[in-house]
Amino acid sequence: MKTFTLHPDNQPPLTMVGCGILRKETDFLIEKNGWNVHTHFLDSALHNYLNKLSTELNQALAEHEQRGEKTVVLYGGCHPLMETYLEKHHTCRTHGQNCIVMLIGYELFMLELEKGAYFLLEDWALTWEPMITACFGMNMTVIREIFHSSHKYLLALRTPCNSDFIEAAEAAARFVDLPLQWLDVGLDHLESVLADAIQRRLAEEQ
Amino acid sequence: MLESYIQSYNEAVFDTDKQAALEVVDNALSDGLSPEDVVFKLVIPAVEAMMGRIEKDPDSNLAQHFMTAQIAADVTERMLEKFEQPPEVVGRVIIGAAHGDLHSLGKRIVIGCLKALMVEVIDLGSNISAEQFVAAALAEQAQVIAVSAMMAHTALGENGSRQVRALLREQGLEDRIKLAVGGAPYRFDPELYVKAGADAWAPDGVTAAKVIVQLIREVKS
Repeated sequence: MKTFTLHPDNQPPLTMVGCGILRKETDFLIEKNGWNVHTHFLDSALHNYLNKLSTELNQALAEHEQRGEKTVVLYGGCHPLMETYLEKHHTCRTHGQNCIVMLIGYELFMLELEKGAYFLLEDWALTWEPMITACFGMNMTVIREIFHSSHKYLLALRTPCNSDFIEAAEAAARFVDLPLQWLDVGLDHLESVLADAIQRRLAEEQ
Repeated sequence: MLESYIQSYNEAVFDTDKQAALEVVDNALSDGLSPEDVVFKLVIPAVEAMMGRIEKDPDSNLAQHFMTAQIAADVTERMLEKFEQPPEVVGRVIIGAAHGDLHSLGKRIVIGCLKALMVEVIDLGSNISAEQFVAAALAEQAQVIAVSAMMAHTALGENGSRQVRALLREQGLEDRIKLAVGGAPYRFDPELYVKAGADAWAPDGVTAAKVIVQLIREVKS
């Protein structure tokens, strides 16, 4: 089994603060590779509430800093001021504009996006209806109009770490009245993204 | 009487009930309001009041913004057909999401508000290169290019509005075509529009429409 060995071998611990959307996959990869990384995951719905995301991310980073921990961030450009926050907390983040790009790579992301995909991960599928109605209200006609204006299908991404979320994904697709497609994805790309971020952070003195 | 129509119309819009909003309009017409009055004295003030209300309401959602603009655009289009004289088109704007950006909801809100203000809109869609924006503005003789971006990296991307600025400058078009920008990154950094090479920015649909009208007037003066 291929592993990503980081340098130095006896790496000091890092605390990874990040979005919970790829919690299972991240925990799996950390364990698989024996990386000395502790995790602190935030609610995956925060990307819909930029003010809350700002508060919780900054709070989490500050708390870990105060404990003398060195952090690394697992987020895309999910907040317009993300780079400002990283600089403020002397940390860095995983490369990639969002979690989907980190998981499947930029080319495949853009290919599906331009075909009209709305990407669905397990975590979102399981909390779909409350998440969507909180964002868009309860009027189904409006919700569907908003989705149909930009998307032609839901693309559920299934990783080796997922439970069976077929039913939840199908319910999500029915909710917005879009066809559902599936794509099985491996973890190689995410693994290299995480390894890169951890390595970059370890190389920094502060 | 007008105030009560504005209130009823906005209650319907707040409930994202397009049918109810259209019924209010039909009642207003039956009670003697002209199609012109419906647009200029009911819909436009209602949109402004509604956007202000939504902005202040912590429980408001994107659908309310969206429906406010969509209903306004729909009503305006229906009323335009009934105007005694064809309305004067204020000007023309090319709108699209920046290169690499596929978010379109905010852009659609702006489009709805622009149509309510009698601005002709050519929507290029999403993921639009700077070259496409400028080419379309020239082809359509538009006074304004409006570029929306939902992410910091598309707001400042290589082929985003900074490149639109560069092309306008290279081709000597800066007096003829103005550049407006909008989207979440600009709300968090009010000086970002300058770095993005824009002439102006706006935090919401109604303000965007007014800013664009102002830019059109500057070009035409």
